[in-house]
Amino acid sequence: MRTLITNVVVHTMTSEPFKGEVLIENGVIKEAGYKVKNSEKIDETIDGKGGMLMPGFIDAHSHIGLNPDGQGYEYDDVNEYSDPVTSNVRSLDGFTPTDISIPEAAKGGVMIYCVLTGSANPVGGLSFIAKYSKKKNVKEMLIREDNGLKMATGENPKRVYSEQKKMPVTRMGTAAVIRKFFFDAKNYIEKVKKAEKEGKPFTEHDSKMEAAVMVLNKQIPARVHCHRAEDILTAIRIKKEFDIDMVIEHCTEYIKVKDEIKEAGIPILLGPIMSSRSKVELRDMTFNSYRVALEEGILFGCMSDHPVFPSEVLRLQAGMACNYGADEAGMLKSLTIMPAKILGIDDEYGSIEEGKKANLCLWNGHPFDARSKTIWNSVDGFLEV
Amino acid sequence: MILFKNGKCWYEGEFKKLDILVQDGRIKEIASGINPDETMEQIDMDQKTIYPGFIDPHTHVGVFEEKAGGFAGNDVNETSSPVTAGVRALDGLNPLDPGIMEARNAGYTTVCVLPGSANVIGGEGVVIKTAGTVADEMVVKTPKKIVKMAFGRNPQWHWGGRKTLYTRLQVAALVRDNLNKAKDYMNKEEKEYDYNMEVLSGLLKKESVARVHVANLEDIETIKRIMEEYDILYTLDHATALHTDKEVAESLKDVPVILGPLNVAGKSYQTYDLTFKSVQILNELGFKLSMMTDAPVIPLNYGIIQMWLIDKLRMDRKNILDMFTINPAKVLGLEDEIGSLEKGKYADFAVTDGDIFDVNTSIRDTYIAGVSVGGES
Repeated sequence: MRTLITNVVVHTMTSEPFKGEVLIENGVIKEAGYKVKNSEKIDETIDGKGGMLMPGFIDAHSHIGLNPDGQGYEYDDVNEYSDPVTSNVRSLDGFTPTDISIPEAAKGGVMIYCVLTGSANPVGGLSFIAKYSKKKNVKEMLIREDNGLKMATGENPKRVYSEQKKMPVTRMGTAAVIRKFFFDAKNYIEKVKKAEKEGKPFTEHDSKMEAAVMVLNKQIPARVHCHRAEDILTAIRIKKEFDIDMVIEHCTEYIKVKDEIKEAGIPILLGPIMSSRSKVELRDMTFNSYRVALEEGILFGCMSDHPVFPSEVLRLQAGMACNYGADEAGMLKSLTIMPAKILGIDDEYGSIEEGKKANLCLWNGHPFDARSKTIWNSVDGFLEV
Repeated sequence: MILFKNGKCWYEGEFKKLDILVQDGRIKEIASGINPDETMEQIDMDQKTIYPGFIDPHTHVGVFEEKAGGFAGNDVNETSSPVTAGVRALDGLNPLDPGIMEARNAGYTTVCVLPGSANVIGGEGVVIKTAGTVADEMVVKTPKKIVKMAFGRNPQWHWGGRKTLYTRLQVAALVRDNLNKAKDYMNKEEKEYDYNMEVLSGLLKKESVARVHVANLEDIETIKRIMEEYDILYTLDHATALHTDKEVAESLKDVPVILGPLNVAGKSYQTYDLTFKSVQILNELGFKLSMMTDAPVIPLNYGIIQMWLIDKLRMDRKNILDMFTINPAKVLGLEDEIGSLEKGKYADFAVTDGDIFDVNTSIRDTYIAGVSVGGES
């Protein structure tokens, strides 16, 4: 099946936008250019009517499907509050593909999300990456399982566990819980090695520790919820102590520690900024973070934390960043190629380039304009909605 | 290089008009009549008095925040368990706590930040310089690690009725049990790494110092008994009733004592013996005392008030100034780095427009490693 999309302004995310055509073969982008070279045997031709063709937006920090909109307590599966360390839980196992927010997000151009556990626990759980599908099942939607381990610092863990009268009730306690988690995992690795050396079967498998081992072996990053500068620095301290890969989530006081983040080479996911300063740790929240992150040239994504801020309107948060002086093309990248790189799926998603998956949206205007809408997306087919 | 020219310096126990040459944050030379050359930036100190930067060896700034800190800024006691040896004050420290700004503006250049006294073994403390926005960069490495402990009625009050601890008997028992565990941990041939046990074995190996919160005399004696039993380096912090028994005090003369805060209400059994006279009595017994504010109990911008109130006892002022400078430096094991105006030490200064004991004197400027970081004006 070869589909030619004509008469569109192509925003590739890796080059300047141009007016031209895109050729798709069996769901994979074959070519993009002013006129495609390989234009024989076209099965269907879609006239883009001068719209903007963009990759599906990637919301790299979302709880979509974990607490479906309008479903209340029974469907609240964001935080496993029973223990401060729950690295054995997986957000995939609580995911509800029928969440009405999923088609809504697609309308807003958000086609890919990394679904994380919440921030109540210092060590939360394993996340996964999904893509929009009109078939509402996990099999169709799943891109990657267990792609990161959620962790949290700051007010949330200490608030939750001071109510439960368990560790942690302070920031010191949260760091100690995380540190102990990794020390335990190092001991666990030694035990496994010992059994191997002695030629005995290992009989003490521990799924919490298995997740920690994945982080220590750099198979997956720690995805650490941090708002205030001191929490960000504590996360960086722990990263250095254990030599692990890390992504800082929210990163509300980014500007205060921009040099330290750059030096540590840690990607960050900024947001949601379009919400209230409901906690002390959000006091210095500002849209300027996006502008500064672009000026600094670091790898970052603009995220919604859905349902805190609805994924459907993630594009408007990026638009507001432009209102505060952020570069428009840069903000589009923070919704596409940059989060793709952070999630490690940039070989297939995040830009319009040869060989990548055709995960595309056609816009009738710029997505940062609230009045614009997606005309169609390539997952649903090229039907006008 | 910076040349602080012709200041009235508190130097070797007396005031002298001296020049101080600073290179790379440290005092390169302190003498009269240093000849300036073109590589030196000159700062005129003619009308100024230069004291070594003040040191508070016992505070909670940054982990127990002032102003709008509230629940969000309160990280002082990890009250999930009475023994939390493995938590670190550094991990809860907010460099932007207004309490730290107040400290540097008041001439305090180095402070030790400790976990609180709700827990029997509270966690690791950290020494910081009072200027900066990145906690890790403010840290001053101490030769020995610092472990906070608390005896007596604070842990008893906090934990009373919470099933883990009812009496002061149990406070002592928890310390013993955990130190015994740490001994076993050290002696194990094959062991699983345990950070709590690492911290406690540090005490047993004398790689760390226990900083022990205590008020009453009976608890002071219990601490002495346990610390000698396990051969642990320790200090007595607060030590509110130590002066009430000269015999006990005499037996503890080798132990560093940090008094304060003394200008608070003595409203409980713990603070029944609270008096400024304790400074005089212990000083006469030969103790090299240090003073603490326990900030934010007394915010550090009011730390100097204790100095004035001690001065009312008509003690030798050199002894009083030592309590805010070189003595606390010794408590922290940093006497070669800070605590006096001396060649090779950090250029940490509190610069005033007069006698520090005069209530009308202002801190005009505070220098940390030769850099101006604050002052009252």
